[in-house]
Parts: sequence; C-alpha cells; structure tokens
Amino acid sequence: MIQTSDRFRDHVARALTDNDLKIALTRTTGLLQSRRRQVIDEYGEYAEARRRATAIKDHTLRHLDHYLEMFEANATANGAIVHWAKTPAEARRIVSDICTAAGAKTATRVKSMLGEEIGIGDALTDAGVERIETDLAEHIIQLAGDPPSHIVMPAMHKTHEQVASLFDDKHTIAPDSHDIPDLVGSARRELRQRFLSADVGISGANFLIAETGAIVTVTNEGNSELTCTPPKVHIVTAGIEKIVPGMAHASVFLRLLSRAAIGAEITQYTTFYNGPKRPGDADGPEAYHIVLVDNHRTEMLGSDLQPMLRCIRCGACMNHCPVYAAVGGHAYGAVYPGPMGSVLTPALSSLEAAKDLPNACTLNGRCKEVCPVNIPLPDMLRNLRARQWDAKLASPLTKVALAGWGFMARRPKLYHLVTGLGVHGLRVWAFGRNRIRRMPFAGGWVKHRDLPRPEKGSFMQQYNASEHGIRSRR
Amino acid sequence: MSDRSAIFGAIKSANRAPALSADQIAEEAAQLVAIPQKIQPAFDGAALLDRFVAKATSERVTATVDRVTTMAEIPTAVSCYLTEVGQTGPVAVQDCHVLDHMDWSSLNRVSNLAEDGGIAVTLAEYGIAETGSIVCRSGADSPILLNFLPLYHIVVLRASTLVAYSEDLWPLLGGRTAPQSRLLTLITGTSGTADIEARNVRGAHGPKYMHIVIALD
Amino acid sequence: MNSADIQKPRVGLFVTCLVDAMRPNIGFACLKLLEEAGCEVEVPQAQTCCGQPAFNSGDDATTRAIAKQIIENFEPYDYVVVPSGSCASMIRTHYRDVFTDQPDWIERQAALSAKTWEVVSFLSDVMQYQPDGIHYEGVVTYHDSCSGLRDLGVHDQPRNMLAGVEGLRMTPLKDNDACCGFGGTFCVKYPDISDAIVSAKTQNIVATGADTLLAGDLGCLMNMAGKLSRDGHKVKTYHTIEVLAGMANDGGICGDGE
Repeated sequence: MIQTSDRFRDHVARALTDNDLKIALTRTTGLLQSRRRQVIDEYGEYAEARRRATAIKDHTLRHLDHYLEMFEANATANGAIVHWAKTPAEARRIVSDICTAAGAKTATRVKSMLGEEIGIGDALTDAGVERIETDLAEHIIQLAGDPPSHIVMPAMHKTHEQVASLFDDKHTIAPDSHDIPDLVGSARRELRQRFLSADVGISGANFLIAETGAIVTVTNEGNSELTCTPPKVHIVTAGIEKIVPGMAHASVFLRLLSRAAIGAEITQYTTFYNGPKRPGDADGPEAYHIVLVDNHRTEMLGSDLQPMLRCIRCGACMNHCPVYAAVGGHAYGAVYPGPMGSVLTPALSSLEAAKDLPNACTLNGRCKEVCPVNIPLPDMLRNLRARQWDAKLASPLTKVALAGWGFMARRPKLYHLVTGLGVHGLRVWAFGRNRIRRMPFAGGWVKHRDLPRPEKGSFMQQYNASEHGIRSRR
Repeated sequence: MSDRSAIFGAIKSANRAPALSADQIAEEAAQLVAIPQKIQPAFDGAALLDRFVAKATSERVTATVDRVTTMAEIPTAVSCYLTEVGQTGPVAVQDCHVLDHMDWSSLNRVSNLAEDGGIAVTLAEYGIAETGSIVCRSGADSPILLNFLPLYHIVVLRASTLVAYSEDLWPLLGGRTAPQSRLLTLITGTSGTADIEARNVRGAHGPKYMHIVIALD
Repeated sequence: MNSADIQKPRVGLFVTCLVDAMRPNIGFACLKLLEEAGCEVEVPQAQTCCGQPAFNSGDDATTRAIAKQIIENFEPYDYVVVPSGSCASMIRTHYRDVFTDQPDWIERQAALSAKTWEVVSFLSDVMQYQPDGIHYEGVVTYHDSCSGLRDLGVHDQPRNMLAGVEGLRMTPLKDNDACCGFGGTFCVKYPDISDAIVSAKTQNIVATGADTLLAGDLGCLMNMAGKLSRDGHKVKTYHTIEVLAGMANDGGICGDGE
C-alpha cells in the first residue's frame, strides 16, 4: 500500500462528504463500543489482567533478543524454517523466493496487518502468484480494490448495500439475496474451492510463543485453518514484537485480545501452529516457513516510542476515537489508522510523511483508557508533535501564532492590556447581539459555531476594579 | 551482515540495561503469571460441566449440547440430533480409536467429507470450561479439516477431559520437550464473522452448526 | 486575629485565559464559593495562560517559560484552584513533561503540581463543601470534559454537588464521556472534523430534552454552546460553578441574555 498520509486533509475533506462512509461508521462504531463495554464489565479480573499483560510485554521487550533466540531454536526443532527480514523489501524477497521455489500459482491469505506493512501483495505479484484473500473483509476490499480501513475489520468503510452490489458484480454465482447472512454465504461459496486448491497458504501471527516455537492465530471464520492446512506450503509473516515468553503468558493476552477487539470472551478459533505436517499426519503442509520482520521495531526499542511495541492489534483505540469515527480509516492514508496508526506511521515512515497524523487528535485520552496494554497514546502523540516542532515541521502560521501568544503570555501586564482591548473589540464587533456569527481571523471557529459576546471587560479588569481586588492591593 | 545479525545487533544496542542470566529471565517470566486465579474468571461455584455447557450454549458461542451417560450411547444421540435438524445426508466420522469402538450403523457413514455442506463427527481431546471451548489436535487419526469443512459439526466430548482454564491445558500437552502436533486448536462454537457492519453472522467459512455430545462416564 | 483565621487555607485562583477573556462570571463564581467554603482567596496579577496551546503544539520551550511564571507566582499558596479540568491537568499532570531535565526547577514544579486543583473537585474533596440554599430551576444534562475526567478523576463531584441544588433535575447524556471535539488548537486546525464531532455531541444533548447543559471546561462549553446556538437550539449552557454559586442567570454562553 502506498502511504498517502501527507494528503490527510484532502482525504478528510472527501471523507466528511461521503454519505455511505458516514452510514457505515455510524452502524459499526457504537456497536463495537457497547460490545466491549459489556464483556469488560463482566470480567471482574480485567484490571489485573491488563496490569499483567503490560508487565509481560515490557519484560519481553527488555529481553527481546533472548526470547527471539529461544523462539527460533524451538520453532526450528519443530520443523519450521525461520527467516529474518530487517526491511519490507527483504521480507518480500523471502516470500517471493519461497513461492517461486514451490512452483506456486495461487496463494490463499489470512488477514495480517504485518503482511500489509511489508507489501505482500507486491511480493506475490512479483512471483507470478495469484493472491486470494480469504478473510471476509479482506475478500471484500480485494474485490473493491480498496486498502484496509481498520486493523480488525478492514471493510468497516463499506455499507452492506455496497457489499451486495460488489458481490452481485464480481462473484461467480450472485448472492441469494442482499441480506448480510446471504452475502456471507456467497463469499463462502466463492472461496471454498480456492482454499482447497491453493499452492501456498500465508498467515500472520497474533502471538509467537518463545517457549514452544509456536505461532498463534486468533480468528473467527475458519479461514486461518483452511488457509494453513490444504496447501503444500504454509508461510507465516510476523513482526518481532509479537513474541511472548510461554503458553501461560499467551493465556493472559488471549483473554484481553478478543474482549478488547470484538467484545467476546474468546474468538471461535484460537489455533497454535507448531510446524509442518508430521509423519503420518492425515493433512497439513509439507513445508512451513516463518518470516520474522523488523521494519523499524528495533529503532522504537529503547526510545520513547517503545510502549508502542506492546500493541496487540486489538483496534479498541480506533473504535473509541472521535476523529476515526468522523473520518474513517482511509483518511489516515497509511497501513495503520486511528490512534495507534498515528503513532506507528511516523515510526514506520517519517515525521514529515506522517505530517498531520500526530496533530489530528483532540488528546481526549479514551484510546489510552481502552488500551489493554496501557499504551500512553496521547502522550506519545504529543511527544511526536514536540519532535516535529524541533524538526521545524510545524506550519508557519502555527509558529507565528504561538510566538506571538508566548511573547504576550510571559508579559502579564501587556497580556492584560491586549486582552482588555480584544474583549472590548469583540463586544463592539458583536453589535449589541449576544452571539457573534462572523469574525475575520477566526474562520476556523465561526465556520460552524457562534462565538459568545464577551462581558464588559476581562476578568482581570473587572476584578481589579472590584472591592475584593482593591482590598487585595492595599 | 545478515539481516539476522543486524536485527540482533540493533536489539542489543537499544536495550542498554545489564543482561540477566537465562535463569533470572525465566524467574521473572514465571512471576508474571504466578497465581493465575487472579486473572481467571470465577465460576461462582458452578461445576466444570455446568460452566462448560452454560458457555457453549450461550448466545456468543451458539453450540447445542446433549448429554449421554456412556460412550456407547453416542451414535444414537448423534442420529437423534440429525433427525431433529432434518439432516439425512452422509456423515464423515473421524477415524480414530475412541470413535471406532462405537456402532455407527444407524448413520450413513462415509470416509470422505464433501467439500461443503457436509456433516462430520469428531472427537474433542479436551474441553475448556471457562469459555465452552473444545480442543483438537491434528494427527494421523485426526484430519484437522474435519473440524472446519463441514456445515454441521458434531463433537464428541468426554466430561472427564474437561479442564477449567487454558492454563490447565498446557501442562497436559507434554511440556517443552514433548513433540508437538502440527496444529492445536481451541474451537469455541460455530464459525462466524462481523465484517459487514459489525453484524454477527454464523457460518462464515467454517461450520454453521455445532452440536456437542458429552459422555458423562 | 482568631485561630480560625490562622487555619484558613490560602488559595491562589488561576482563572485561565478563556475565562479571563470570554466569561469572567466563572471566575467570580469561583471566588464566591471558595470564600464561602472557608478559603482565603487571592488572584495573583501575573497570571495569563497555563501553556497548553504551546504544549499541545509541541513547543516545549515556550511551555516551560510560561510554566515557570506560573510556578513563581503561585507557589506561595497552599492551593492553586482552576475552573478548568484541562488547565488544572496541564499544571498537575503535564508540567513534569517539560521539566524532566531541569534539575533546578523540578522540585518546585512537583510541589506546585501536587497542590493544583480543578475547582469543583477542590470544593468537594478538599474543602468538603456543599453550597447551601442554592436554587436553579431546570432540567440539566452534564458533559464530562476529557482532561477533568481522565486525568483528574472529576466525575462524581459535580454530580453530587449539583444534587444539592434545589429545583435542579439531572438527566443523563448519552455518551457523556465522549469528546466534544474542542481539543484546544484542534478545533481551529481541523475545523471540519471538529464540527463532525461536536454535531454528534449536540445531537445527543438535544435528544435529552434538557434545557440546560453544564460542564467544567469553558473551551468545551463554548464549543458546544456555539454549535447549539448556530443550529438554533435553545439550551442554556453554563459552567457548573456558575450554577453552584447561584450566578447562572444571564442566559448562559451564546444565550439569549438576561
């Protein structure tokens, strides 16, 4: 996916007038919030689980090399071939080479945001492999030619009417009706044979278990197992930060992930993959590859962005973000949208390319509140703004306005004088009415809102003229 | 320099804290999951079986459940279920030691499951009461796709194999040095998706119906 | 001088730049209630802004300069009280972020931060004060401003204190803890997104049928009142402290006047 975060404002302008998007977002974000709320309220041990999950991630990151070595040794002993990729380009080359060596023509895929991150679609194209997305939402966006708009529900931007129209057009057999269950049934029918005849199956991993060398996928549809079992080759792509020490540690995260992401105590399929087909196995791939990807994660380690590496990709932050709810995921122009995307995107690309992302945030803090691993997202976004400021990336208007404001704020007498004049000026401008509808230099405000008419004098003016104020100066 | 060395080099220079020994790291890791009761949802006095059934039949999971006293009664229970739901087609029964000892003659038993729309009977190795999940592993006598391809998935579960929590399951798998099956899955109810407008729909790519027959002996 | 005078807590009132310019009544309501609660209140002259606009734009140097001014002028007091969750939080929880490598100042900053309070929670939690004989006739719905709620835990206090006001009936606001879209500089940097967010908020407000909207932050209040007014809705908007002080009688922010 080509990153277009620098065109955030253009994307937003389009998003805010997109009625279908508005309907889609309204239909989904409220539901996701209330489902999570309910299941968290029922989980009395939530606060302790969250505390432990945060501590486990921090511990693992402190000893990341130790655990990665352990994982590699155990996975290899189980028959996996473990590869390392510092960059997306290297990861693509590895995947491409494996597919070519296997003579693959088709590859089924289970949703993986890391796969998006490394541009796996390009890797498959380079190897002449037809890519078949199997996760319902990924299937929808593949047919529509869209990038994902959410990390858990990639087709959140589509109304069911739009999906119906898409399936009518693209499915071999049109859906039985436009009801959502029939749309799902149509995708099942469309993809069944593709699962069974694919040459390669590609998945991500929600967790890597160091102690056993297993990878875990947490899914609902059955497409993970149908992707990773029939083909001759199973390839896993995963970020190095997905690692946890052992099975008991995974249990902690499994309880949190599904609750935070979809408001369920557990997903339908929590599957551990240990290696290729064992001798005598009735089914399974002959070859099993794990591609471990860095892509700037080692840079975030040891920096003030390290907490971002705790992320378990639940999507709760964006489900509760008022900006995301208003503009949708595509507006961010990056692989990862919403609050976590606004922190990750500068790290994965640059402060300059990410531009608006750290700034288009009200700092309301709900993201941090719902994060199962306590990532201080608003603080990190603000720190990114400080980095942008130091790198002189702030807009000239902001710099001038703040310089003026700062100058005055440090000179109380001048400040009070100017404020008093300003208050008076606003009162005059109001022409005796209680509300101000138009104001030069305040276009951003009065475009959508009225301004109140101020009182007859600032607080400091009125106070200094009052009895209390006069008394206090004696 | 290989990518591997570059990655490990970058990690070492980022983590400047003094390195602990492997034993110390393991000790710290163990502390982090000590007393798992603190994060395990309480059963409020419910017995394992009752908890399992309550969760499995809950709205979020949508399995149906039947109980029989002995293993020998299982084929009849399966027959009854299929009659109830109007399914008369062929049934693929997992070819494993436990299930082979039963009399399946009342069913139209086949060895190959259809690509879709089929019915399969499989054996759960374990059940997890916390969430109403069943546990299956791939193996010579366990084509794992039997759990994912059918439309109707009938699960045979022995009550004696129920554990309370996933933490109780891990030690039963043989530990670090035991050979692991290729795949181990915790299946909780029927397949589903909420990818279209967050509407929960059952029967995505996996089974749309799950019926669990629990043998109490 | 009697012993009661010696024990009176000395409060430095920091009214905030928005209150100073746009609604001094809030400052006077604070003054009234703080004195009634038994505090000795002073208004340091050298007060302008808490530094939030600079901080939120990433200009740590300017933030620090403004913060030093606040520290110098307010540290003589027992408490610093602020009629704004976001400004109080700026001082209480965020000042430390710009003083981390300032060994000479860090102790002074920590001391000031520790004694800085949002006004409603100060009256409730520190002074354990409930105003007496206050009357407000109306159906009120309450918006929880983000910083006050999440940084400072202000939630029960305004509700408890408003429960003691005669004639006032509370009705809950759907998504009361959802951001109103003000976000300080956010609303002028991204006005259209802010509008989408505040529109969702005002829809919820109007749906309650309440005739009055209250909150603890003037930025949020101006944002919501300004939108309600632009859309022609008759909902009186006040700062909680104005109602508690019995000084909510001018029709409110963007209201119809007295």
